[in-house]
Amino acid sequence: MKNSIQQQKPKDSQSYWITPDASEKFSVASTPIEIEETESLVEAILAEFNNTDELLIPEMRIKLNNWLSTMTEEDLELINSEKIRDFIYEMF
Amino acid sequence: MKTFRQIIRYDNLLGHTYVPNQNVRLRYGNDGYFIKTDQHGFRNSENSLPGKKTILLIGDSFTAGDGVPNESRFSDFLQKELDCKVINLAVSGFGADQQILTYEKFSDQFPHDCVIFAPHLDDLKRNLLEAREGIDKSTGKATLIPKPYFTIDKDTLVLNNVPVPMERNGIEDSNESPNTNSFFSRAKNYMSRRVLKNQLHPEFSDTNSAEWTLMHKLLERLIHAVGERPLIIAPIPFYDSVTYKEEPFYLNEFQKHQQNNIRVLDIATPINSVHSIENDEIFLPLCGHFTKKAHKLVADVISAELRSSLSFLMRETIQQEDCSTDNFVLGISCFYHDSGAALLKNGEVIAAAQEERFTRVKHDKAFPGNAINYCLEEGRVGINELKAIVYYDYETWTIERVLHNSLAIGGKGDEFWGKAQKSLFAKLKLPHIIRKETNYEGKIFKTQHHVSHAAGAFYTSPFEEAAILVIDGVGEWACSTIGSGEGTKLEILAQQHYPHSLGLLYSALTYFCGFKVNSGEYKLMGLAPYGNPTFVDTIKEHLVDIKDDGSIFLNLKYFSFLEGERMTNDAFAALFGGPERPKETDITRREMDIAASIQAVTEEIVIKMANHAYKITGKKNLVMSGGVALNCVSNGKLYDATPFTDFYFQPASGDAGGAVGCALNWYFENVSDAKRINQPNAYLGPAFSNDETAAFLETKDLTFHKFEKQNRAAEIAELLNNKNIIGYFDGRMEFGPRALGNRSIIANPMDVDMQSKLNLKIKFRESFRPFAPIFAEERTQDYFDFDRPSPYMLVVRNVKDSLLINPSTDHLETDNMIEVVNQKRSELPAITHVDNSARLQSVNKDQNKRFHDILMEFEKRSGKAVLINTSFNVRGEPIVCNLNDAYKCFMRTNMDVLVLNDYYLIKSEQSDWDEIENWQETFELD
Repeated sequence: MKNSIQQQKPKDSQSYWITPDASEKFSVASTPIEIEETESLVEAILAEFNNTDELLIPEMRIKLNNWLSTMTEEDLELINSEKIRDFIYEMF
Repeated sequence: MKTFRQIIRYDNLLGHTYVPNQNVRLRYGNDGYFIKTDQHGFRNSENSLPGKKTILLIGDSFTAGDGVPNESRFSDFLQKELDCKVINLAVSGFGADQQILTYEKFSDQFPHDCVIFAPHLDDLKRNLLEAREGIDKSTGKATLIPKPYFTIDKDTLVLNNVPVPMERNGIEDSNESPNTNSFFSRAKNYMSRRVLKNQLHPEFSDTNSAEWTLMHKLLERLIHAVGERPLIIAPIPFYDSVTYKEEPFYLNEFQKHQQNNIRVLDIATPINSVHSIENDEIFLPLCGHFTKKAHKLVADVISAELRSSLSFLMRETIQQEDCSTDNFVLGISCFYHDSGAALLKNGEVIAAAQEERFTRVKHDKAFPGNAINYCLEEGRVGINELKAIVYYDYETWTIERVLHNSLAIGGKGDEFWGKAQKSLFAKLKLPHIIRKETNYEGKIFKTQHHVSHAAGAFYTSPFEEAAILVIDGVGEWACSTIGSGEGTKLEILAQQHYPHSLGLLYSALTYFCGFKVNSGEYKLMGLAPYGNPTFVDTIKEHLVDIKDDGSIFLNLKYFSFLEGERMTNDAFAALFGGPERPKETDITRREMDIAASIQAVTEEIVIKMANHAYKITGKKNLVMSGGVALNCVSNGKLYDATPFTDFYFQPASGDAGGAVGCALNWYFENVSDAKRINQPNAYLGPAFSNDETAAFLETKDLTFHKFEKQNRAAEIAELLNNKNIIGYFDGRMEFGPRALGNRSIIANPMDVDMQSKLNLKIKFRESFRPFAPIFAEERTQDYFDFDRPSPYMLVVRNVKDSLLINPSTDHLETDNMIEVVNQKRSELPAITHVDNSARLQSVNKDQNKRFHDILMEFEKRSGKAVLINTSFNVRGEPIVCNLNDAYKCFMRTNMDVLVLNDYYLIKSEQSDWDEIENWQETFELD
């Protein structure tokens, strides 16, 4: 199973540049991940992966499922709680 | 209701009105609405209906339409339903006394056929007040704001407090304020009523009370002023009166004035009939004002009365509002280093701003609700009129990369993954957050991080064709990208993936030298000229393998960013003779030499990457973006070390700038007849009109002056030539990390003491970094070793030899950087770095005529069209955004003069400064 974090320097390499897959569009709709149901969302995320060995997918599916099944709307509320600042205009 | 603007101005008769000629989008909960004001300072929609009957409306916030846009108010519904024109002269916070004074002052200027007077029942109490409570936004203190008021003397109304005093008295303890009908106490009562739901208004049942006696007198005065015209009196009930279906007890009192041409309308009963606590469609949840539905109900009641009793004709059809055919696209960047938003109109970037400017939290990474609001305001467009919202992150690829990262580090992987989960969840749920925070219902797209940077650099550049180079820490997988741009097409040719990142390498050294990652990199760059590049070989032998084509491979043995938290490890420290420098401790020669070394390595890599980009694209121009493109020293080297003929560095190369690029990429991929419009400058943020500026100054009762229009530049130049330090606030705010002359502190660069004075008394820092020059573009070659424009302060070049007076290499030996930096080494000492370089910002007439005029006037006096330009802020504070930010920064520091558009303030003429906020602790040191 190949991890895509390359930690060992490839031997005899003349360049570390890679050629990305040709892409017709670099802006894509967010619709596939705008779903709430966890299993479907996990599959939607996995479907967008483009740098993962097929053999790693089952392990990642488990991690994603475990992760998303513990996350709630409240976790999103926390994201913004730090920045709530009152700068209501001086009306009176 | 939130805004960063001044929307209320002082009025010597009425107390206040709105600021004239505004079109402001107020944030309201997760939504927002526009308020438009006319030349007199009223929320009076533009309507030219010659020959139509005209209704003139006076009232308070309910009639003015707090919480809803102009077109959703009962005044505007009336105009649609009746064949007439409606002039809405209502103002938030007015009592009946101020409403009647408004009528008396403006009735002659607005010929009209009918008057509607819509007092809120709370006016019974407001009318007795001499002042209302508010909060001074600058000092944070509660203040009493005077208003006009009437008393009765021998059965005659006597007007008091006119001219309304400008002076505001502070309130030491608002809880013990004698003003029991204060803003605070009323707000408290209001909440209490909403919660307790059992306190109605027995206080108004005494018809002989002072409140009713004064209201009757005021009505008599209004009726006299209205004369023979029809007058509709439509009292607005209390919230709880509606909630508990209270009989409109007060109507009897108003009806005492009813005559043939005077009608008292009951709007409470129809509202009562549709209102329920469970499904409140009448009162807005946050402020308690009327909803659009309630406004429509009120309009129906009034129009029925006008049609039946007063023979106004109803229109047969309701006019449809014009639908915009413009193509608006909103770009968003958030949850990384700097949040921001940008708005395209038909492919042109018409607005962009960083969230930090509004929240005053440096590098704020939260959802950019304020920046979005500003962009919509600038575009005069509603959120659901957008063709698309685009954000700059393939979050699924980022999740993929983090998963790989967690697997790569073995036993620590679970901990790493656990730490990343909340942050990743926010990124994953960004579409959901966008919809929730903005009520947006349209299409949402995402653009790759590096493609966004690439598009932001290429499509805003002046080049028809260009090679594109993006270098930063990491975006999804990519750490560096080479692309090619032609016309409206963009192609990605080569990338380097995480973790082999020049940005992360530079950040690791930034961290090791004791500076903050993602913000302290520019300090390391500024430190480099003090050092000798003695660690270059160490870095290249152990930390990074550099190929001839600029591609790199990091030796992960020395880094710990894969495990999160720290950037470097003990092995790394061993290479540099010991552990990292603790933050805020003295900088030693080691850090100077490390800075010089990593800067040299960075330049080598960037030059090699650029040369490779030239080789594989064959283009003659290069555009750059990503955080490394803010390294203006390496940018400056590209001119001599690569074959490219011209360069463009995106001025917002950091993460906030991704908001521009993601939207541009979507636009050019999805609009078939798209045409490119290059971005002529970086002034994409909010401006503040002279009306708004005057309102700010007058409302605060500040001592200020107005420039003579023809002499503005000359007067400012004279102040500068006399060694005054000026906080300069003019026009639209810059987008990107640099202040480029519209939110700048400016001073005379020829004064040898100016650098230390600016550092110690204004910026409150002991800086080893020199200030940047801002100069007339046509004088570039007179002062610098450079022959091209540099409008974005993104190129470092040497000061011209002929201006150098004391070349020295002391800085390469001593540890006392402050002493070295304050040495006079050129005729422009405050902007000349220890290696005789300078960070260049040129200005021409097309980009910023008003600043260019100042430079040329300064040249007449000093002989040089060049000034010091440093950002208008103190250390750790975001650059000032609005008038209040600028005023506060001016008062907190030792600046001599504050220029606010066409006005200026002199420090010695201002009152002593006293504020609640301990601002020196508010701003986190960078």
